[in-house]
Amino acid sequence: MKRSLLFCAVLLLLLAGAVSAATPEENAARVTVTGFTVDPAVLMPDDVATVTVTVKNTADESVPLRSARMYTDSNILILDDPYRTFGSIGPGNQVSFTFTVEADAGDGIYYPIFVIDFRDAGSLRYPVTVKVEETEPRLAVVDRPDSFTEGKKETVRVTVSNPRTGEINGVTVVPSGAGIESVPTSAFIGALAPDQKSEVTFNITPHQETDLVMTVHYRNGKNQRSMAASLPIVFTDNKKRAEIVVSGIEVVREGGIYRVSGDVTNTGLEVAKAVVISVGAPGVPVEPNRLYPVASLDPDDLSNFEVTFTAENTTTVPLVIEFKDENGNLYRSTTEISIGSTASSPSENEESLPLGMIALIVAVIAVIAGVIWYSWKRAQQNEE
Amino acid sequence: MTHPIIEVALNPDAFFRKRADRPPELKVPALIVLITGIIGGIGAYMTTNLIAPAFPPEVQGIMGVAAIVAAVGAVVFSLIVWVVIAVLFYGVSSVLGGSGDLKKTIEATGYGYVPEILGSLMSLALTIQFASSFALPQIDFNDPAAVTALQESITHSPMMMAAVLISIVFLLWSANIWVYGVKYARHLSLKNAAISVGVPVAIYIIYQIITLGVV
Repeated sequence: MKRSLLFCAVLLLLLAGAVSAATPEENAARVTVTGFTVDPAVLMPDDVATVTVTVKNTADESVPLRSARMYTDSNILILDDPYRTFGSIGPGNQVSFTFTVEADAGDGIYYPIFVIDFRDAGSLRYPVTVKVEETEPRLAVVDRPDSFTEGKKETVRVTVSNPRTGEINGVTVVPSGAGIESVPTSAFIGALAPDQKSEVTFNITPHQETDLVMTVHYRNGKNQRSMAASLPIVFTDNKKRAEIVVSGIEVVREGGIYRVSGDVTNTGLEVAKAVVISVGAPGVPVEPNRLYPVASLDPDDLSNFEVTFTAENTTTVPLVIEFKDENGNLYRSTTEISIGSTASSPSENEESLPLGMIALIVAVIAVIAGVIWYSWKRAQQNEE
Repeated sequence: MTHPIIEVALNPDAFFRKRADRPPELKVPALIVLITGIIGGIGAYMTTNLIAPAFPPEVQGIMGVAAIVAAVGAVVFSLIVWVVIAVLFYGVSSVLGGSGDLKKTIEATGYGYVPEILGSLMSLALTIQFASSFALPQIDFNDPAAVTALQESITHSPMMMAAVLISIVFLLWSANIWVYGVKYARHLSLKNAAISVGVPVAIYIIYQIITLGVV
């Protein structure tokens, strides 16, 4: 029994002696790079990124390090060197080394080298992969009106797509341009994964001919970037817009009030909403129909109207037609209507007396004149 | 024997000559004036109903009462106007040296209303004709232009102008009777009686013509 115990003790001592006997080179050889990350994963030229290299000591003893550095030729710039001195990595421990780099190159894959100098046993070299892509996000106009009209709100839809192999973040689209009014003023999309796209819609009201600039702001990692695309805005006639045509005008005068009736037809290709008929100066709108609201007119729809007004010293008055499109833009047009050549004075343009009435008045005057003459004659006779 | 009413209409000189020395008697003249007043009241009632559609719906509920008030007012007003006209004749004739009882002048003025019965009937007929042929729009009484247009549409309508014209013609007939009535009531010459009657009547006719917008 005593011999067995003694044997085991000797064996343990031999084993312990064997472990403790590992050389620094052997321990250093068990320090390995377990992985690395680059943020952002894919850089753009001049982007700044962080490269994090993870190292694990799989040895049973601490491994002392002199320094940890990253080297490169010229395409990738190493902006800092925080690990010029370093202690040691404990047995089984994992350590991350983070370096800031800048892409000073165009498209390509670059390999800056991560180097650990062991204090007692040479060094470890590990190439890190850094991708650089010049490809920018794409902005495409999906929908826009055939033509723009000054002051008319139009819908413009754009998509932002990410053809890069890395994600971009904080994507925002901002429309701008001289005399441009946009609702919303900007649209936030957020993150766009590789090969992903997102669509945003703007209501654009141009007040002058200009270039509508759509600027896409985004982040690649911590790098703030932007790109822009412009859409020329040239005013032209909207061939589809609603057109209100007035027909079948009838003007009737009742007393001192003109009553104008007729038909309005939408000969355009878009709906005309909130159609209102009235008369302009020198006409003075009066009740009961100062204004005549017509229901929405679809293309080729027809509706009648009637407005009442007074007018003096004129033979024509403008019939004013107002309507709105689906975006609320107001359109106004006028049509001169004739109210007759006898409209200069209300007292002169009444319908004439019926002939019977004239005859009656003449007869009454004649009879009364006769009566008065007769009474005078009789009075003279009475005097005599 | 000519009926007194016909005689006053056709031969007022003889009518008033006979009554010159009689004491004034107002029953018959008052009856004549009352008849013209009633006819005028019917016309006022119809005119009120004519313009009723021009008022807002909430006001139209009291337009029936307003029409009755207008009719009664026209009757009362005719009696008042009768006396006022007589006082005017009395006053002007006094300036021209006239003498005589005011009551006698009132009596004579009342008889002068005989043609007005015919004239009022004709005016009423024209008003009925006008009312049946004219549809007034509803107006906003806060809008001066609309109110003016409404007034013009009524006063400048041919029927209403004809009614006024006929009333002026009949007024001239009445004035002819009043001349002889004032002559005997106020003991004036025919010329001074004509002036006494002519001045107020002429002023009234000019006012009517101006109201029509002819001048």
